[in-house]
Amino acid sequence: MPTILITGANRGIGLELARQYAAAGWSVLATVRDPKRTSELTTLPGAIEIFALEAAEQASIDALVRDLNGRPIDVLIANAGIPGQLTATPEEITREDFLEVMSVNAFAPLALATALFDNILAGDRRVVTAMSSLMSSVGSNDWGTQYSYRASKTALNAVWRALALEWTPKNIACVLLRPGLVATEMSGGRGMPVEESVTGMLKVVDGLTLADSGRLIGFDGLDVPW
Amino acid sequence: MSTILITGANRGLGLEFARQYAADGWQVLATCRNPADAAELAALPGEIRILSYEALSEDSAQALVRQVGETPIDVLLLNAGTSEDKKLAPEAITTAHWQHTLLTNTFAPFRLAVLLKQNLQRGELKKLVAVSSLAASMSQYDVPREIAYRASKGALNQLWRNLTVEWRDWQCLCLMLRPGKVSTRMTGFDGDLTPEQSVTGMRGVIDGATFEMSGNFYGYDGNVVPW
Repeated sequence: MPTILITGANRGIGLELARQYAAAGWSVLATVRDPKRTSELTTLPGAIEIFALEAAEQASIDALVRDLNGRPIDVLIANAGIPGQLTATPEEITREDFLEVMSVNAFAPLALATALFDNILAGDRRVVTAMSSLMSSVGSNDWGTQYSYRASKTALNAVWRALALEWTPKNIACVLLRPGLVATEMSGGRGMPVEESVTGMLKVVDGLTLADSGRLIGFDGLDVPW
Repeated sequence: MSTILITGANRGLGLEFARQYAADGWQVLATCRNPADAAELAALPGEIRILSYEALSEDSAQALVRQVGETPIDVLLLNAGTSEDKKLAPEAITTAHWQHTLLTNTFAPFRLAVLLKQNLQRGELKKLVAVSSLAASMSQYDVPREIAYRASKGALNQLWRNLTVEWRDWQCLCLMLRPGKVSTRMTGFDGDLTPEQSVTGMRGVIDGATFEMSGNFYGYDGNVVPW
C-alpha cells in the first residue's frame, strides 16, 4: 500500500486529494492546521491518518517528522497555501502580507520537503510535488492582479526548479502541479468542480517519472509556460 | 536635463550606472546605505546627489521619498540587491536568509517604485527598470542552489509584469534587465564582464527602449531573455 502525505487537507483541493487517494487504496497522511476542526476529513472512507501541521512553522514541521518516525512516504503533495490580500492595489501591499504569503506558499513547501527527505528516500515512488498556479506564470501574465499571491507562486516555481536540480540525481522527481481554477473557499466558489481538477492531477502524478522533474504540469496534463 | 534615481549606487553596477549617466549629462540621484562611506561615488564628476536608502527599512524608503520631494524622475533604476549564501543547501535555508533575500530583492524595489510613482509620472521618459538576473529565468538557469536568490528574482520579474499592466494607462515603461555575469564584489569578482561592459549594454537597452517593449526582460546584450 503506497503512502502519500498531503498538506492543507481539511478542505478544498487538499480534502479532495485525500478523498481520491484514500478511495484508490493509498495510505493517506493528511495534515491540517487544527485537527479538532476537520469534520469532513474524518468521515472519509479509507486509510486516512490526520496530523497537525502549521505549514510555515519549523517547530511544527519538526514535530510532524518526529511523529512520522522514519515512515516511508511515496508521494508528497505540498498543497497548503494562502491567497493573501488578493485585491490589494500596489499601494496597499504591506511587507507583512508579502512575507506571510511568501513564507506559506514558497518557503514552507521547501522546508517540509527537506524535512521529509529521509521519508521520501525510503519510499518507492520518490515524488515530491507542490501546488503552483497559472498565476505563477510570468510569460502568460498580461493581466496582473493578485500581487503577493502571484509573486509567491512564481517564487515557488523557482524553489522547486532548484530542488529538482538538487534531488533529481538522487532519483527524486520534483514536480509542480497546476490545479486550474477550482471552486473552493479560497477561490470564492469560482471555477471547476474540485473532483475534476483532482482527478486530473491524480492521473498526472500517477504517470510521473524522473524525466518529469522540474516541470510545471496542469490537471489537464499540459505544461504551464514559465 | 533628464533625471535618474539609482539604488545601491556606492559600488558595483550601481556605481558604474551613476558614472555613465552623470558623464552623459544626467542629473543622478544616487542612493546607498551609508553616504558617508561612498568615496568613489562622491568622487565622480557630474550632477550627482547622494541620498541615504536602506532597502530593508520602510522608514528609510519614506525618508528617501521626502528627500526626492517633487523632483520628476525620468528613469527609476532599482539596482540594489543581495546574493548572500548562494551555495546553501535546500535544507540549510533559514527563515532569516529567506526573508532577507526576498525583502531586499523583491519587496524593496517594488515598494520604492510604488512610493515614487508620482515622481515617475512627472518625468518625461517614465522608465521603471529593475536589475534582475538570469537566475529569474525558470527555463534557462541551471546553476545549482541559489534558492532564495532565484525565488527573489523570479518574483521580482512577476511583480514588474504586474506593474506593466497596472501602470500602462500613464505609459509607464517597465523593464527587467539581465546584467550578465559581472565581476563585482557581490559576485566575489567572479564574472565574464566588467561593470563597464555590462552597464554600457544595459544603458543601450534602457535608452533605446520604446513603450512597446514594456513588460519584457532583456540582457545587457539587447536580447530578450526567455522566462
